[in-house]
Amino acid sequence: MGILITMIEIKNLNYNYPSSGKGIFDIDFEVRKGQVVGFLGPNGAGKTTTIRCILGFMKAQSGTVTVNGIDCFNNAPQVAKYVGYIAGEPSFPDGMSGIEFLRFLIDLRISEQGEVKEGENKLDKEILTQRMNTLVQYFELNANTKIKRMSKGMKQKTAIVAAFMHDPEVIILDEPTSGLDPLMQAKFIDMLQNEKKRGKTILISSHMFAEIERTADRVLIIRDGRIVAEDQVKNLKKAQRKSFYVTGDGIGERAGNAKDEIFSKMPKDFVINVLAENEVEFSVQTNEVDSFVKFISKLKVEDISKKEIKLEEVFMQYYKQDQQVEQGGIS
Amino acid sequence: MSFPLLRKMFKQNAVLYWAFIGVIVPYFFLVILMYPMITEMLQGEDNIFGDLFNFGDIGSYTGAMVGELLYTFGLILFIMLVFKLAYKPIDVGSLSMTLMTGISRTKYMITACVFLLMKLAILFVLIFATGILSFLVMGEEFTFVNYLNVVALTMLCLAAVVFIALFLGIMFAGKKAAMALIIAVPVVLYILFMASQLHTSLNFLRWLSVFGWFVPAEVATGTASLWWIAVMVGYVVIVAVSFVLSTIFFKKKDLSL
Repeated sequence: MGILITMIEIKNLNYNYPSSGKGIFDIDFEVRKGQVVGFLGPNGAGKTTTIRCILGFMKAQSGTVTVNGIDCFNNAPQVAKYVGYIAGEPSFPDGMSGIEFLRFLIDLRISEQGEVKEGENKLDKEILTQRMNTLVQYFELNANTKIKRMSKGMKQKTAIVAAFMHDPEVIILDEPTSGLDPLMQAKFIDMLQNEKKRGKTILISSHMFAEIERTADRVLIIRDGRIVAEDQVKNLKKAQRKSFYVTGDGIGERAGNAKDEIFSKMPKDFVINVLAENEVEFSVQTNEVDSFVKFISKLKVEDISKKEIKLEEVFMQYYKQDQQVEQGGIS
Repeated sequence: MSFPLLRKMFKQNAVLYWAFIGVIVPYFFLVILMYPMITEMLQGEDNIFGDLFNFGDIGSYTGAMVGELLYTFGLILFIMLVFKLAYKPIDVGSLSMTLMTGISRTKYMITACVFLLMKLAILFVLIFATGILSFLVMGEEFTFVNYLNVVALTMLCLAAVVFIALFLGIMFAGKKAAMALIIAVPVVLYILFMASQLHTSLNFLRWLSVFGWFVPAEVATGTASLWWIAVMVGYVVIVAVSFVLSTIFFKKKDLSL
């Protein structure tokens, strides 16, 4: 039943930057409780603007944004009760150590939310401090260091602790692992998976396809301020061309020979990439798998394996398609 | 108002602030002390640039240099103070994390303004106490109320400039223009004030600058008309209007955090 609750709801969201003509246009999606949604797009596509509207930092020029049914701009302080956020480039105040800053955030949150939510789930300083300490240990953060002396990775860890220490229901992450070493990236992904199991709602914008692939149930792909694809990761992958590695004696050589008896009759939609003398990669449309099997049955095949499609390739194919359409339009 | 936020604002760069106070308090004291001397020196003379910058003998190289230094140093200190007070609260650096704790923008702004006023109040108390102590040590005669009026007027003048700078800074928060404006506001106001004293024909410029609305020496010696009370009210109005406008702008502003 819990999975049906909509935690983040965006309807016809528009925000236009008049100076550049960029912005977000007719953004429409929702994230349900317990879901992890990946938000993919290149720089300037509109991910951060969308996130700023969810956090109430910016007011949509039209459309609505709600978290747990609460309007994000007009009731931003109430929305903040539910949300943990890591900014793309987190900034910190001068003159404080990591631990001082984290303690300040705890004090401020308690003083604010103690007032806001009388009686219900009142925050406990001891519990928050405990959770902060656990996270500090988990990420091996030396929180006593002055923030201005911290490396980018350490600052990122501080931002992660700040976002998670109040155990928020909704977690919004904008490039959360930027600056972290691979070991810490893996730890972070483990933690996200754990949060997912605990029923947290997560919206994650990232260029690290691996972390989205490992955590997200659904992916939104945004381009030029518009969502161009939205589906489950497995469905997006399914919709892509299939690739197969085929090994056979001299198969690469034959594929390169236009007069070859078998390859000259190959269906035109098949794409071949010769990898070695004895190995080629076939790429076929989803509805051509049967034709592909029939085609290779004519060859002397030693081995065949399906290429695992990565999310990055799915993403790139969406962008290539759009670019091709654009180029076609221009010519 | 949020006490944890107020505490944090005070903690940040506390050492720098107190070091700064340690310089500006004696500086203000010195300027206040010298004002009657300057006016006496300028009595009967044309209000010319050279005289204004010269605290001693007009032909004395040292006297001219000391005057230059004091005025230039004063301006730099003043800009630093305005910048320190007005820019920090709207420094969008850690604002995203602060707002994500659930504090409302109005509350944030009220806390920032209380912080500004408290810092100015500390400065006021220190300058006042230093002045009294110095008068007593030097054995100079002074009128307690007149001295209080001068310091209060000076502090309110400073508060007016800081709050104008704060308002402009809020309007452009997150952009480089904010920093530029906060520096430019006291400089332009100060330049207008200085220009008004170059020649009597330029006297009207002093009304465009909040610095020129009263003559400290007159207030200190008790020879000023009651105009200075209206000036005091004027400064309070500037502070109040700037605060209200800053809060409204900050509440509605799109923050690129």
